[in-house]
Amino acid sequence: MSRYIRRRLLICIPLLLGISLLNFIIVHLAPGDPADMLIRPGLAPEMIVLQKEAMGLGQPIWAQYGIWLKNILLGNWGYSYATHRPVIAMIGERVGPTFLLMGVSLLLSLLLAFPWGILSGLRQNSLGDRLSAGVCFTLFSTPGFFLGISLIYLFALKIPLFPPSGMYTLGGERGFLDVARHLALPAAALALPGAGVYTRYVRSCTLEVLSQDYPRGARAKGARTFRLLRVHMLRNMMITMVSVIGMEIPPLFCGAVVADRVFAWPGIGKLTMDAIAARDYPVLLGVNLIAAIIILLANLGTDLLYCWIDPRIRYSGKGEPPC
Amino acid sequence: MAGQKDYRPIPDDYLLTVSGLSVGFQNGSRFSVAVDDLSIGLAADEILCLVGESGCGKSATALAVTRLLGKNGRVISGEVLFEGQNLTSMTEKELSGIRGRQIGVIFQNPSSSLNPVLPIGEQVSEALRIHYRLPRREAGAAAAELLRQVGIPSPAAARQYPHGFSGGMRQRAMIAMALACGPKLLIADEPTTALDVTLQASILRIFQTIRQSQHTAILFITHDLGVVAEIADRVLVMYAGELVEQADAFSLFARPSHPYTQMLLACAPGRAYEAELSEGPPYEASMREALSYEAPPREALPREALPREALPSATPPCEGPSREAPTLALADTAPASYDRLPGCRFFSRCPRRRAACQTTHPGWTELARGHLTRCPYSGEGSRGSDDDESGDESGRSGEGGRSGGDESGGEGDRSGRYDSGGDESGREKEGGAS
Repeated sequence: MSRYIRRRLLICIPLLLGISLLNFIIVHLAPGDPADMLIRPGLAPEMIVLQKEAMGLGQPIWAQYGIWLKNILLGNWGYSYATHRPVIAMIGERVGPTFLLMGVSLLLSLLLAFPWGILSGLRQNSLGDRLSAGVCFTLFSTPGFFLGISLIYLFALKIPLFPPSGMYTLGGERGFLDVARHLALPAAALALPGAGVYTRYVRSCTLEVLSQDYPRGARAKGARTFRLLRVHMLRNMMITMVSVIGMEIPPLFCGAVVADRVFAWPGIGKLTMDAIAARDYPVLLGVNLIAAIIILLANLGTDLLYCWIDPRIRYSGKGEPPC
Repeated sequence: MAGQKDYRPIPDDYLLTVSGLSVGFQNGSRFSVAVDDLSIGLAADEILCLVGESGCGKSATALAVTRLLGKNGRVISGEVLFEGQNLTSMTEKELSGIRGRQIGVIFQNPSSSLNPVLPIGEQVSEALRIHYRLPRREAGAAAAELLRQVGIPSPAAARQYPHGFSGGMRQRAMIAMALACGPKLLIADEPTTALDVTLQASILRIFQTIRQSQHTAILFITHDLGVVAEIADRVLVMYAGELVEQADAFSLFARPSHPYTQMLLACAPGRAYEAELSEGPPYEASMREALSYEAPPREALPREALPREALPSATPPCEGPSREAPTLALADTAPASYDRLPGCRFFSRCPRRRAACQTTHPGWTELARGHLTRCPYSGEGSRGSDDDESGDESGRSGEGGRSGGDESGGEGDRSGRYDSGGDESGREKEGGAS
């Protein structure tokens, strides 16, 4: 098991190198550079060239990448061009709220999707099932920003239940309840499309499991619906659901970026958007690297969960067990 | 269909009574009847075999009894009584108290009937946990003991998952699972079909042991007559959704009366049931006879009236491994929508068919005490002497002097377990046919 994890983590290293190189190239290929952002009326062109030299932008791109990589490996993520603060600190203070938002919305969407999807599957083709299909499709085809703005309009303006933006009440005490109230709308905006997708998957997993012979076998032993679900179906459904959830982590991260914007949530997304606007290369590269790490870890987590749930994978390896 | 009502089992004498059971399946927009007006009585301590080819409704019967038909299956009519309780009208809650505790079911395919992500031990003892709320630790010990009983002595086996078990071990685990609560009735749906002969034998021994030690009644569903000969007390032969012959095992092998039974016997590979016949009437004779059937002369049948599926096909119905293929120029499969056929359902494949068979649905004919057949002409084939059989092949189909009704009528003495109420109608039909 630990050997498997170690191997998987080692595989992550070349992957991360590749991702960072691609990121570096794409970021630098974008028109404009940080020095251009400093242009003010009356600034001498020589000053701009000097500034570029100072930022290290005069060198060829591969040399710049080499320097950046060396610094990263030494633990130096660079300094923001805009705020002149260390990138690692800027990301560090934003990661927490982003994880909170992602985690809560993932939990919310799963809590919604599982009962809903199972019920839908058990009552296949009933009126409720058909209606729920419509609701699901509507949910996951609604763009995040639109859903976000609608939620703000409905539940912050028309019916002022929740604060429309931010993470804390200004000047208020930063308690759990306060954060929860601020979290409600962005988490809902992020969770609902996900819930739509998951519900469809849970429903088809339910049907898939029901079409097998073993639920009948369990019924023959006297198991009733609840036990059937809890003991026999859920675990089998999780095999599929874990990989679905794993695939949905990157979109969730993207969604968090949008939610940051709409709800002024102080997460990584806001940092990213600001960095893009300011061509703040060090921050942008740092954020991308963090995102890549999160997604690779999510993949690893998915595979480990997978092994834990499905004994057939656990013991299938020839020679060396996968985990 | 009227004929079958004559022999309804009387509930008092049996552990399980099925009367007039009809089961249908919805396939898309088509509704097809799989079991039609079936009646069975199964006494405590008895091993009753339900025999027939694939698709004749054996498994549907088993599932209908425990009401596990699934979404597209439906019991159309009929009643299932278990110890006087009506299983057909019970709520799901009451029923789940009986399933697993008093009725154990062994399913056809052990590989897919076991949950792939739960350890075998947990699955084996699940019924105990459900019905007796056994704590985990005790349930684990019980599972190991149950597995030992079915010949898996290693205590580590209970912690394994189904994919780590061989086919035979999974089948044993299924049996252990069904036996967990010591049920009064065991329904075994083709429990030996997927296994090789040695395993088959050891599993059949398990069933016999259970019956002796726990007095469990067993409804054993199979299409393997070798297995039937090995284990059955009484045999029901099923064809196209209805019973065509029922008898105790000895009489059935000694005197197979319905042409379908004879065909099954002729098709059975090997001679597993010879032992059963060591002192009985000539098995060879019925075998030869079954092999040498020919279709009745074409002119004898009104051709236009034949249903499409009844038209002769080139394929013989079966091929024993070591024998010449029988020269049956008959349909090689059972009719598809048999519930709408007015006459005998075996008509399209019957070597002994007559024009009347196509229009009149045959009732039961009683050949001996407890030996019933649904063919009015059944007295003819199986009763001749050995010498006659070998020479007289071509004439058989045309011969119709003696009807089965005459013979069975003479024996008169009906099984006490059957309601002889309406048997007149059955006999009238036979008279008319001959």
